[in-house]
Amino acid sequence: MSTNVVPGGQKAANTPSNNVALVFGAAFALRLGLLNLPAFPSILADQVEISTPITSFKRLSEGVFLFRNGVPPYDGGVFHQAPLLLGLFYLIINSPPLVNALYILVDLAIGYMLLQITAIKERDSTSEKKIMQYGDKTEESGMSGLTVASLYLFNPFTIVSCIGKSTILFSNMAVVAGIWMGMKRNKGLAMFSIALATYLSFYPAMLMIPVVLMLTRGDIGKQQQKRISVQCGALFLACLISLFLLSFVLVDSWSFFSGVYGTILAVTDLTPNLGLLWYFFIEMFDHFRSFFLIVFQLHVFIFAVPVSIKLWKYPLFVSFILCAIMGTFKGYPSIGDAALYLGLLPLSSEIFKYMRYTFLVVNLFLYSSLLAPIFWYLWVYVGSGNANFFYAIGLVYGIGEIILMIDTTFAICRRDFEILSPPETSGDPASLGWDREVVQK
Amino acid sequence: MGLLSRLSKAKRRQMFGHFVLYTMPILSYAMVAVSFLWLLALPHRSYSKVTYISENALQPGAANVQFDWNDFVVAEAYRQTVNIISELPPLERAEALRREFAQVGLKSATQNYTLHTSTVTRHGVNTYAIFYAPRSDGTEALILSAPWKSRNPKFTANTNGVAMLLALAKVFKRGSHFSKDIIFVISDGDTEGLQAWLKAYHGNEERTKTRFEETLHIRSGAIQAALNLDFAGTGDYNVLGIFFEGVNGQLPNLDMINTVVEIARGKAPVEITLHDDIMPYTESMPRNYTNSLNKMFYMMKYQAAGTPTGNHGVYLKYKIDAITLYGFDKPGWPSPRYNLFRLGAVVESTVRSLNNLLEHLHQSFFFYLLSGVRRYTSIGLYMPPIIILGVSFILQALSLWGISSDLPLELKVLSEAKATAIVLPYSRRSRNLRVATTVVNLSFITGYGTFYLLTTNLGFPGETPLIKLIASVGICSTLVFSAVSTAHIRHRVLKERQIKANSADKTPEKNIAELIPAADWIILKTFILALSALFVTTLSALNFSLAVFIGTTIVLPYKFFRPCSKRFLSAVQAAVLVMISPPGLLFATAWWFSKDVGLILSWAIEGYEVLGTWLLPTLCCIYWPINLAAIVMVLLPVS
Repeated sequence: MSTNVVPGGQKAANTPSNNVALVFGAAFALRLGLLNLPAFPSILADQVEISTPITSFKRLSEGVFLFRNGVPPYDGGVFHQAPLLLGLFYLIINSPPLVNALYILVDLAIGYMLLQITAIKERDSTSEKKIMQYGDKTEESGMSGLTVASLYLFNPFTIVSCIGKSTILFSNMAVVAGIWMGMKRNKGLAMFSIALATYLSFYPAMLMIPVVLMLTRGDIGKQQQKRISVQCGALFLACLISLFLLSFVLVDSWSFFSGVYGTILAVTDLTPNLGLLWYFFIEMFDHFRSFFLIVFQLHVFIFAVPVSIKLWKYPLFVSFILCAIMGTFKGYPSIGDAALYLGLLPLSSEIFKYMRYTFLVVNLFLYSSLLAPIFWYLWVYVGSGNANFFYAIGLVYGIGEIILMIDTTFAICRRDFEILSPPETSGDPASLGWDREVVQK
Repeated sequence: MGLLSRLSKAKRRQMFGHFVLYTMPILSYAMVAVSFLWLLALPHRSYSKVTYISENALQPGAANVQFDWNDFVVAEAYRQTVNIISELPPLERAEALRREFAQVGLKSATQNYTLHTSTVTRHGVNTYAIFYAPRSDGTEALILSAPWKSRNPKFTANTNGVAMLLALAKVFKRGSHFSKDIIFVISDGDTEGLQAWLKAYHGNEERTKTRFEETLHIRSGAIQAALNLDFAGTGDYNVLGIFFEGVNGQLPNLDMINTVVEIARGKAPVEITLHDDIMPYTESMPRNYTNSLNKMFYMMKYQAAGTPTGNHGVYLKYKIDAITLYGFDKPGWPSPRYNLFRLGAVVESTVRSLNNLLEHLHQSFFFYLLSGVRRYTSIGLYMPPIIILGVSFILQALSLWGISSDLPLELKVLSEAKATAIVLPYSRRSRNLRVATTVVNLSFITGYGTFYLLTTNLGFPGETPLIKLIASVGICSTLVFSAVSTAHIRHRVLKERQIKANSADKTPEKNIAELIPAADWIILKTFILALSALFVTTLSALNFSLAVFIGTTIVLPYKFFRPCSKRFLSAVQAAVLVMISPPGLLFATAWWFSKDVGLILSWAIEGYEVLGTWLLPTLCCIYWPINLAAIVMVLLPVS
């Protein structure tokens, strides 16, 4: 039955392979069907919640067009995506079926990698000490790999982001691949993937830390850990520099640095999006701009170290929370970012029972994803609303994301506490531990 | 001692939690009452405000009107001409009108269009002419339009309206004070004619299998505002009505209405009212609460339907503020009669006012409810009740969500020979979402299926919308029936298995019992309430009136209904839910207005296909699925 063999040679998750085929087949068919609807993909591609200045497929096509006609693609301030994407799409953009196939396959690949990550995690957790619960039961095991994969593949955010051909998908794939390789203890590929993700959208650089944590997890000596970390740093830099060099060879100028990373860091393209920054920088006087720019960008990165120190035992969770922070506070967030961290969240499914605001978070996500296009319509098409309407929904969405982060962090800390001091399930009533909830809250 | 005090603390916490969970529904019903009363208070005199001109550039009535007695005579002559023209077939009629405009000295042209919907095919010809203002640079324009067909069913043609357009063309031609070009449009058909013209004007003309719209050959600049004239027949009128509700409940800037009202009260006195069949405005009138309520209800009815009340509604789709002026004769009403002379003054003065605009109308309100021509309630004042209604849904959903995972595991602690039950943390019963998600997903799929069925021409003989609707009702009832019977069978099987299991192992020492998840209907009802809240609140941002009508219809049934152990009561609830389902509402409307069911259905489908109104998709794809899920919910097993 379960003869799925991962490249490492181990057996995959013990899910019946026909179920896997069913889920992936359904995901494939759904995407293929939606991509071939007449107007749907182009409507989605125009939604600001899906396509941002740095992930829009339309802008990518424009860049390819300029490149093909010998105009430097980064002149003119329309195109802000990495040169290697340009190179990739230069080859295939004339054939829509190929482009569609690429998007579908990349999305399915992310699903497949999530399946594999869950399998590795399950293997890891068999060696862990189990949490005992009341009634002398052990903690139920988390979600199966197939559930995790289908939660990613059938998440509406993932689907519309894929159908809208947002290029965030490629960065997402690099991130998930980095995590997978990290879990497999494959230093070279892990660092290459993270470097690729960094190269594509810059912020994933901070995922270096959790991935190094994954590579050094388990019983390895201090010396060994240090050696691996240094090696990883070197590998990461080497990969990144070679990617830059390749790009230089491709576009024959260094202008892509300011065109891509300059735009990401300086938030120069103020096309509205779901994020929190565009409105600020439209309203702000120019002499405050650099100060707030530094504050906001530092704010994204500042969590990476403390979170990793506090939760070093849970590198998968750290990578989830860092992705969520990126997806909330970066300059050009889209729902493609949400698709990534919502896909990573079920990897820590054992914390779900400790979460308290699930209903609230789900509702906030639902309301913002319905109201954002409505208020955009009222603002841009009908003209009866204004920018404040849309930005207000961006704020609601941000609140939803922040509550999700707070809630999950609480849940993992609470679970950590349960592991540290498991409740007594027999013996003297006074030491039963039932009152810990009272003490805790 | 410490143990005991901590025990009682835990107990108290638990009781507080229960108190909150179980009082929330009561609070939510109170909110429904508040919301209803608040909605009723909206038209009240002390709640609404008097309108005012917000855009200073408008200066209504400040310009000297040039429409004089000579022009009136010209207008009457044109009336004769139009009367003769109206005997001609459409193509020649349009050509004759074009020639009339050309004789005035304007550039004029005609536009053909064809439109196929899934049920009908329509052809038509629009005529239009452009007066290029001598002092303008041609970047801005105003529109004066008249549909060939009047909304007044007693007359075949909009004779006075078209004659007025021609006469005004002549008046404007000799004026030199216009800063905007003026476009005259005489549109064919209902609203599809003007829509074809507007699409072509903005360069969006389609040449597909379903639509053909001819390209426009003469053009002007960006259209700032439009005035649509509907003066049927050749007689005089005693009341001037204003129609303003557009596609999907969009409204023009309130200053448009204010300008006309101001002019009709001062410069060119005319009795003025909102819409057509209710009492015209007098100073003392708004004191009368039922009258205001009536007027507001009328407006909300038109807004909720989403089909424009006249050609002005199509302009709104293009961000052009527009209203329709409608002349009608109300027998027995004491107001003085007016003819083309007075009407010319009103229209010219309004156009001169709009001509003053320095930028697009943006000052006044875009979201308002009118309870009289001079009284409005703005968005900040009318949104709270619908938000409260939404919150009342959410509160009950939240309470049910809490209840579905309460009954925590309890550990019997023996202290001083007295057993006390203690709640254990994080050991609540789990929720079983499978049935609820399946039902909700299936009902949404059926809803979309119905919508697809209604709007596609399948091409079988004798195909009418009504037959398709009946087919989809059949599918829906099969779905409901199978879902409910599956749930009942499953429930019975589970119960038997449980009884067997209980008799098999009776271990008294087992102090922690296995917990059964909450009944499926509780989860399903949570979903229904949460979705209804989402639906009503988001809809209220788009079309407040539709949200109010839907919200007030569903709030009590959805909140109050739940499966009963008495089969009869469940059946009654299901019957009520069927009554408020779209087919039920369709039959009710048909009965109320004593119209044909098929006619109303085709009206809704045509609205969607021709103008893109959202009534049909909203009802099929959102309202009906929730309703279906609710019907399944009341029929599920109780426990």
